[in-house]
This record gives sequence, C-alpha cells and structure tokens, in this order.
Amino acid sequence: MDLLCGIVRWFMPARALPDLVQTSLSLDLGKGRVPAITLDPGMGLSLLVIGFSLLYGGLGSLKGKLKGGESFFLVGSILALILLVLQVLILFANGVETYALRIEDFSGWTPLEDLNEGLVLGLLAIPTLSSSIKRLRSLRKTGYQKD
Amino acid sequence: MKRIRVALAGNPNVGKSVIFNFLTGGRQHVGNWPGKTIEKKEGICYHRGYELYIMDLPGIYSLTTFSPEELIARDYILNEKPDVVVNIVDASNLRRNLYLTIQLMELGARLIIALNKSDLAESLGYEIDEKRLEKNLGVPVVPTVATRRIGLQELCDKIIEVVERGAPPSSITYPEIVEAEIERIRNVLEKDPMIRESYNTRWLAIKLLEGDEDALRKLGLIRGG
Amino acid sequence: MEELRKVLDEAKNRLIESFGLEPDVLLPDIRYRVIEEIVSTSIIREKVELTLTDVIDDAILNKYLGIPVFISLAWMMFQFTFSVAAPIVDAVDMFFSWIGEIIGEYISNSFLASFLADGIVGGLGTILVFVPNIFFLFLALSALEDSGYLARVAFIFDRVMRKFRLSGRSIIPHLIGFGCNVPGVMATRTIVGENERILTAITNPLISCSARLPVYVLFAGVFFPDNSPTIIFSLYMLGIVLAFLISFVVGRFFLKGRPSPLIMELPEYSMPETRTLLMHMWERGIMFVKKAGTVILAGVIAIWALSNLPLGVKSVEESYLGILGHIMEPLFKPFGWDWRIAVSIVFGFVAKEIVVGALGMIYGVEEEALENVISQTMTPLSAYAFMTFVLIYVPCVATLAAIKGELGWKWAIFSAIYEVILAYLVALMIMVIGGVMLS
Repeated sequence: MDLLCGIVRWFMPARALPDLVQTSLSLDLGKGRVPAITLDPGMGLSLLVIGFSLLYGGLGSLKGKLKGGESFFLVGSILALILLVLQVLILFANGVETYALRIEDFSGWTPLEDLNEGLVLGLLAIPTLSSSIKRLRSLRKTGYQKD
Repeated sequence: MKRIRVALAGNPNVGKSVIFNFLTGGRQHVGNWPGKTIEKKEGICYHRGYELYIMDLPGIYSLTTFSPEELIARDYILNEKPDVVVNIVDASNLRRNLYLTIQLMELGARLIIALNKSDLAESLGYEIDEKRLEKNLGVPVVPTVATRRIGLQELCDKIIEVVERGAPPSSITYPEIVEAEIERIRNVLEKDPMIRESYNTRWLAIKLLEGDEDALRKLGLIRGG
Repeated sequence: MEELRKVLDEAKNRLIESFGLEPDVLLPDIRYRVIEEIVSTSIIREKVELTLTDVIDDAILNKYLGIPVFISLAWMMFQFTFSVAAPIVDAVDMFFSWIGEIIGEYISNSFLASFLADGIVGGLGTILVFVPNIFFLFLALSALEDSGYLARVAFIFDRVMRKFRLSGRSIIPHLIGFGCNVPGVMATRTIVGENERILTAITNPLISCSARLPVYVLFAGVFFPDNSPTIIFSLYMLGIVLAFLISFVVGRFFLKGRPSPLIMELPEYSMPETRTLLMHMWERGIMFVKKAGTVILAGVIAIWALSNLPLGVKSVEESYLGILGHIMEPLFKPFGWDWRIAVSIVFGFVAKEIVVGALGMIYGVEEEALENVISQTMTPLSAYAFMTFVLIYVPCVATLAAIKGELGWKWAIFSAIYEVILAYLVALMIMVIGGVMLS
C-alpha cells in the first residue's frame, strides 16, 4: 500500500505538468484583448494554483516535509476537488438548459464540450486527496514533527 | 409554573446559538435590540416543571464599551438581573474564553459555565480537569457537546439547582493592592444612596478604575456622547 | 463627585507606583494573570503540536500562495453563482413571460392589462429572475464563512490592506457587500478604528452588489455571450480595485491617523453543516427579496406611471419619462448612450435592480426582445462603459441611508458626489482607451 502511495505521489505531479503548460496558455490569452478571443483567465489561474500546489507540494512531500510539502499537496487536492464538483455542476446545469429547457443558446451543445482540464485535474485529485489524508492520519498517530 | 430567567453569554462561535436552538426549539422569538440592528433572540424551555426564559446575548469577547454588542450584554445583566447567566465556554480555547468569564464574575452574576466543544478539545489533545476548574472558579462547570446534544439536560438541571439552592453570586478576588483601591473607590460610591441602589458598586469601582467610558459617563465624570 | 475624582486619581498613581502600569492596561493584565493561574492548574494536557487546521493554513496563509488561492476560490464562487444557477434563472424567466402573455390574453382593458403585465408582472419578474443567483451567491458565501476560510481572508489581506490605510478587518464588510451593500455598510460598525470604519463604509458601494447583477447579466449576455462570467468577474474586480484606490486617496489626503493592529482569532476549519448553511442562505436571501419586493415594485410602478402619463401618450418618448431623458441626453453623448439609457440611470438611484426593469418599460418590450433592441442601440464598448457606470455611480437609496446611519449626512453626501464623478470619469476613460485599442 505504501508503495502504491509512493507511486501515486510521483504520478500526480507529473500529470499536473501538462495541465500547467496548458493553463499558462489560457492565462496568457487571458491578458489578451477585449473582446473577441475566448478566454477564461479564472480557470487558468485556478489550474495554475492547483497545479503548482500539487507539484511543489508533491516534491516537498517526497522529501518528507510536512509544512511546505504535504500541506501544499493537501490544499491543492482539496481545491482540485472543489473545482471538480463545480465542473460537474456546470455540466449538469448546461445539460438541463439544453435538453430540459431547450434554450436556443444551447442548441448545439453536447456534454463533450464541457469536458475540460478542470474536470480532468479534479478527477485526478480524488486519489491524491485520499493518499494525502492517509499519510496525514498516520503522521498524526506518531505525532507531527515541527518542521 | 415557576419561571427562571436565564441569559446566555459567550464568545462568538462557541456554539451558543446551537445550545439556544436545542433548548428552545421552535419556541423562540427573534427581533432587534431597541435602536440597534443587532439580533435579539429570546425563547422558552420547559424543564422538570420549570419555565426557563432564555435570552441569547450577542457573542462578545469582553465587556468593554467598544462595541454595541458588549454594551447590550452588560446592560442586560446589570439592569434586567437575570436569575442565572450561563457562560458558554469553548473548551478548545480556554484562555481566551475565560477573559469574558472573569468579567462576568466581576459583575457578580450568578454564573454557570457550560464547557462546550469538549469533543473538539479532546481531539486536539486537551485534557481538562473540570472539577478543578469548578473549584478554581468557584462556579459550577457543566461539560457539553452541543452539536451532539450532550450535557444539555445536565445544564438545565444545574440551572434549576443553582436557583433553588440560592447560590451566591460569583466573585473574583484580585491582588491585595488592587483590592485596596477598589475598596476605597467603593466607599466613596456607597456614600451616594442613588448610586448604591442602582449599581453593583464593586463592579462600578473596577470599571471606573479601568477608565471605562460608559461608567465614567454615567457618573458625569466625562461628557456624554 | 470631586471626592470621587480625587480617589480615582490617587488610586491611579498608587497603582502606577506599585505595578508600573496605568490602570486601564493593568486591569486586563491582572485578569490574564488570574486566568493563567486558573487554567494552568485545570488543564492536564495541552494540545498536540499541529492540527489539520495548522497544516492547511500553512498553504492557505502562505505569503505567495495565499492571494492566488483566494482569487481562485472567488472565481469558483462566481462560476457557481452564475453558470450553475443559470437553468433556474432561465426557468423563472420563462415562467414570468408566460404569465405576462396570459394576462395580455385575458384582460381586455389595455391600460389595466399594461399595468398588470408590464408594470407589476414585468417589473417583478425581471428582478425576481435573478433571485436564484442571489441565493446561490449567499450559499457560497455562507459555505466560505462556516468552513472558517473567511477569517483567513481577513488575515491574508491584512498586510496588503495596511498600505491602503485599512486593516484586514475591512475585508469582511466588503465581502458581504458582494451580496448587498446595505448589510455590508452596516457590518462596518464592528470595525474599531473610526478612520477604517469611514473608509470601508464609503468604499463599500464600489463593491458590486447583487442588485447590479441584473444589469451585468443582461448586457454581458447580449454583448459578450461567450465570456459573460469573465466579463462580469472583471467588473467585480474593477470595483475592488477602485475601492482600494479610493480608500488610499481619501485615507492619505483627507484623514489623519493609522489603523489599529489586528488581533484575530482563526477558528478551526470544519465542514459546514448543511442545515446551518441553508439557514444562513435563506435568511440573507429573504432579506434581499423583501427589499426587492417593496422598493423595486414601487419603483417599477413609478416608472411605468411616468412612462404612460400624461394619459394618452402614444410613445414613451412623449411621456414625462421621455422628456426627462432628453434633458439628460447631452450629458451622456460621449458614451453613445441615448435618452432611454439616461432615464434608466436615474432610476438606478432608487435601486440598481430597477435599471433592467426600467429599460424594459422604456423600450416597451419584454425580456428576450429587450436583448435584441439593446444590441442595436449600443456597441460592446459603450455597453461595457455602461456597466462600469452602473457599478460606480451613486449608491442606491438604501445604501445611502445605511451610510448616513453609520457615519452621518456629511459622509453620505460625500459618497454620493464622489461616486457620480468617479463613474463619469471611469466610463469616459473606458471609451477613450477602448477606442484606441480597437482602432
């Protein structure tokens, strides 16, 4: 089990990396001009924050650091989870608009359109969160070290 | 049915509302304190043949004059003189919460401490000797976990017991030198029959010494505002 | 009295001699000593070194990560409020349109029909359509509050806010201001320093309250359909930036003194309880609805009356309303706004929610049609300028009343005046900069 956690720890930061690149792109576009380009700086920033937390935290956690390591990883996972819930809710809401209410704006929409990075990162966050909590619980039993 | 007037006092976020809600259920009335936009919550709780009329005072950290909430709470206790003041204390934050407790004891209120969030304190690693605390404070201490409704029955029992027993008002004694000054001021205050009738002179003495604006103003020592 | 004063002075001197401290500081100090005595013998074991809260706070309160995390969470909150609530909003909208149609069909007297359909139903409908957004907003705010995160926000921003002559405490009234400026201004009451209180209260109206939402949603939806949450987010951000700016300017040049230090408690993090959450959401939401119900309904009926009188007028343009609009039109020439927009601005003074209802009335159309009409009379740029204008200009009457209640007439009038001037200037700047950028 520990080995699995170890692998997961390595895996997550690595997965976060391509997201980081992608979100940097959307963030750049975010600073772009009004109004034409489709931009979403909010999502960009959120992904950056989460990605960074997971990466930095993951690395620190591997070095055995609690503060500046595991803590960032945990918070990154929690944020990603919130993002996940949000994306799912939006997906659902868009679905209702398209199929139940038949709003014209949504006539061409399919669920596929809303499968975005936030969703992916959020899904990845589920295992990272549970592994993080497991680690914290075991640390707690032996008493936290002050770093 | 005998009626007991209870006031709930405590820091914000200690679970006061939870206790209030569980005790009064639907029998509560929410309004505003006269002239203010601060919520006034009062309710009734029936327990063992007694009617407990409960006033939920605003959450406060202290009894100074800085905020309207503090003024409301202290005016209520001074003027309305409830039979019992239940001070809800957050067990996981004892020192900060006791600051208010001490001031309630200066007021000479008949006090019961509800030591709430005992579960949280325990999970944080605290271990509190309630009997010792009771002895040190000279005031009954009832451990509670309001969110799980633990200790609330015992709290109501204690309220009734304290009233029926005619328990004395709480008090706190300060170092000798300070007590001497307090006493001196008290003596001067006692000379005026009107003051003696209307106020708890010991409390007033402490407040005047401390430079409390409201007290100073009431005695005309500074201009009103 | 004299004897009392003498005794007090003597006591003070004697205590200073014995303890080296003045009584107003000595007494709290003694209380703490007593507490320490009591506690040290009553507590058998103190808390374990670090808790989960401490671990989380390590990241949340981090110097560099703290603010980005906050902005992300704020953004997520807005996405939640608008995108997720959207289907409910649209459903309510459809419902009210439908009722309006039915009234039109069944009531023959056209004046009465108009009164009921356009006046009451139309007015109420246009505003209540946004109630779901408001409830969602309050839900999100309550979640942030009950979990304990909001307290951290005050802490995180404390250092930054000191530069603007504020303390972190000011951020909470501002956060409340996102729901409604009225409770936001009232929340400044608990701020201890007078200067801070003034600055927070007079800048609170710059924070976009939920009443401005209807205007934003309408215009952003029409002119920036793919990016409306982002545009709306940008408006909120603009408000915040301006609030800080004005705080700084007024604090630096008009007021003396610095803010008091911040001693705050940070409660442990906890999962908010669903029941408490819903209760908070409901309480705050209902307050807003009540305000909407009375003030706005009255306002919409007033607008309807002004636009349909004198009796027998054939178009809005000829009514009292139209006359008023034409008088104001020249003021707004630089923005490309016509008299109709001018009139709606006047009514925004009563309550910003009314702006949309007013527009509907003035154009004599319903919601969907309103979108089409507007897109023909404005450009995206002037629309953005308009939204900014609505953001900044005069607070609604209720907010002004709150400011007067907290700070007095002087500051209330000051708020009204500076905001109108600021609104005009900023809108102008947008037109100019936008014009340059787009050409």
